[in-house]
Amino acid sequence: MSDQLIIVGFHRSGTSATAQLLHRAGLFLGYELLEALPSNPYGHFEDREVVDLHHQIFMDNDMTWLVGRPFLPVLKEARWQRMRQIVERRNVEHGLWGFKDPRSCLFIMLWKYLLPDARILLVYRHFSESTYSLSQRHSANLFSGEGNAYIHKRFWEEPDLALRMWLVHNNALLAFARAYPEDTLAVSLNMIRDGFPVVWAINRRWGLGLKDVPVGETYDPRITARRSRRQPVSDRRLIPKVDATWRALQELGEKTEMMLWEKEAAVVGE
Amino acid sequence: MEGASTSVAGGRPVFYAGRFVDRLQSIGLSRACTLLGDWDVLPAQLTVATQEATSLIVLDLFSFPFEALSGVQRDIPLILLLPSGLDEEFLTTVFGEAVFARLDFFDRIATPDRALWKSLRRRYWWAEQQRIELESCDPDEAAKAIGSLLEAESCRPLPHPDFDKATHRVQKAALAPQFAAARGAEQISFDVLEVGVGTGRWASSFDLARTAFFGLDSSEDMVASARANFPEGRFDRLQPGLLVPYDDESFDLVFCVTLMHHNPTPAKKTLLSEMWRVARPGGRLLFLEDFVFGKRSENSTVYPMSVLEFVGLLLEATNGQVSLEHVESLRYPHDDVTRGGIIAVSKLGVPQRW
Amino acid sequence: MSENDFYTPTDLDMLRMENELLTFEVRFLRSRLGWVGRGTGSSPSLNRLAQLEEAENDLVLLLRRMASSPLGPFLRLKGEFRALEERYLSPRAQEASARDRLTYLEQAENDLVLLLRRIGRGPLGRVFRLKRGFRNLEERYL
Repeated sequence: MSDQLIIVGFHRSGTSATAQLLHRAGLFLGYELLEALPSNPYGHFEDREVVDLHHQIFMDNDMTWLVGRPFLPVLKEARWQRMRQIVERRNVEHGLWGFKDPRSCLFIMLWKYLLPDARILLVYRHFSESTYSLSQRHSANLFSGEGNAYIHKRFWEEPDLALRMWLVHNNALLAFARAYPEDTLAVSLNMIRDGFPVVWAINRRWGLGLKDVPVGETYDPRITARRSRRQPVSDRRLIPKVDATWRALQELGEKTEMMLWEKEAAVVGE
Repeated sequence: MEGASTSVAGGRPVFYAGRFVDRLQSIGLSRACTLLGDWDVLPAQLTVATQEATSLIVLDLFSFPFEALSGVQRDIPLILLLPSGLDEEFLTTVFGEAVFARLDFFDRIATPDRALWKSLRRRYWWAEQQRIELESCDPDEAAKAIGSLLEAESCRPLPHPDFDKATHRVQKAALAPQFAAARGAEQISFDVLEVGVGTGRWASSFDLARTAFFGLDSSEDMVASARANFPEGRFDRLQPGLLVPYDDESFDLVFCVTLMHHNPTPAKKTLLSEMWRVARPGGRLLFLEDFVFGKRSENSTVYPMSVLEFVGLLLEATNGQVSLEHVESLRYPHDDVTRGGIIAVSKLGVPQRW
Repeated sequence: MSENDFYTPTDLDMLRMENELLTFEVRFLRSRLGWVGRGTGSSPSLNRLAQLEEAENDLVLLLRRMASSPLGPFLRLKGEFRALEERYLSPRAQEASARDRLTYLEQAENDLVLLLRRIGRGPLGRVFRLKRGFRNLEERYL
């Protein structure tokens, strides 16, 4: 029987750094991992087969990955088959495997259907930081002429796009957490920065046998700037929704932190 | 909906007497009625005669050109007088496909023959309320009886403006293929639940001999009417808190028609999550709702929602455990503003192909 | 929209709702008909896009190298080389690339392959192959 741990989180939330960490700790993340790009020097660690499949599903639904509205996809039989192929190969060849792709926030229930025992490591980050980072990457690319100009321009043409995307992706993750609380572990990028022992927590929770790698080894604080900033918003009706989602994420993160406090309390008690 | 069935006080019934027109001319129907003979129903004349008709009563089934009814004429509720002395076999052979099979909830059958009604009813799954009981099938008597009935009905308050044959036909045209798709090719038994079933008008879209049809409504009166209309179905009240009184994963198809927009958001969420709960994995949830709202009359209670808002609620209530099967927008006759839509999703489960 | 309160939709609300409904329906129909990626900027596979952009980069670098080399003036006598310069190095190239990015990139990839083949076959082939960079390009695209 194979175990699966899927790393999910909105774009620019720290999933790449987390993936790198878990990769070092022994989590198989895919046969062909995508390369580093200037915006993420330590590499994306995204499984090409999984990313391609997600893109195909977007295309089937006449969408891009810029999903800022609730997404209810059509799933063609061919995509189900491809998902099953991906799953079967990894189940056979690896006792523990997973993948990381921010787009998988929107498809996590599909994967869960094929992998009933799969767990997720939910990585979250404050909306102002994520959206800033996302917009920053795309403006840089737009001006340097790199990448898909259509995609870059969308962030300028559609007000609140990045914020809506943050909302939709994180709401999908919260839905998973509500449906499968035992299979969800949430950490924020701040927690990781502050040295939270992610691998220890995963092992503690689910006994997956990952190698405990000190966080400092893979995570370079220079790369991810911490900026607390105000979030620009055009449609003020988003504010209560974003607030509610942020608070729900924090609650999940607190549950994870409690594991550490319990451990420390136990140590003190001894 | 704006501008639906412009009813004149007393209504505007059109009586088609066919070959009996001479007899009927002497019986003195009310002035609002129009009387047509078999020479009066050439297509152009029929169009003129049935303009603004509120019902079309066919007293001479054999001579009426049903196939000539087209367009808006098909939206006029029909009342058909069954000729005397003919059995079910004969009637269905002659009228089955062209006439009976196309009748729906807003049409009626007038006959004194109870047994005949029963067997026809079960063949076409008509509602009991679609029967007009008569003392005799003599055209004169029948016309008088029907005339009085219609006049009595016109004194009652108008039903909900959306509740008319025109709207029903648009909805039925869109829903019927979805019902068929939900059933699939091979299923022997088919368990269906309608939430907000009202008097049961959608039950007749199913073959009740092969379908276990369940309906829920929050109104005791509605449930009672539905039970009377379709004894073959099972109708219950929605429990307090809008809970569905059935076990998880009990139905192959769970649907509702213009239910959601009468409920505020928290109620919508409850209904959606209950509907999802009782659907089987791989089963379907089907929604027909209004998604574009214009100005409404003061006494209508409506909580407008756009299609994306609805999709958002659906994803929230089901935790995203659904995939999209069908989307279709509906345009209603006589209404340029309001638009409905159909959304069908399957509950994530064993992905059977329909 | 307020959750529990009644309100009277304005014309703008109605337009927005209708827009949403029809867009949703069209998207669904497109997916059913298999009409994907037409004029909506649907992104091809990330990997493929990255590949195409690399090819474009490589082509531009190669053309610049060729143009600024001692062979440059000689190459510019060739109509085809001038056409490539015009297409990828001139200011107009920016415009063309913005208009239909995917087509532009695919053409760039094509042109790069053709160019490499041409150079490789011609008398200058051996000269170019002395450069490691050129050999790498050949490996990658041919």
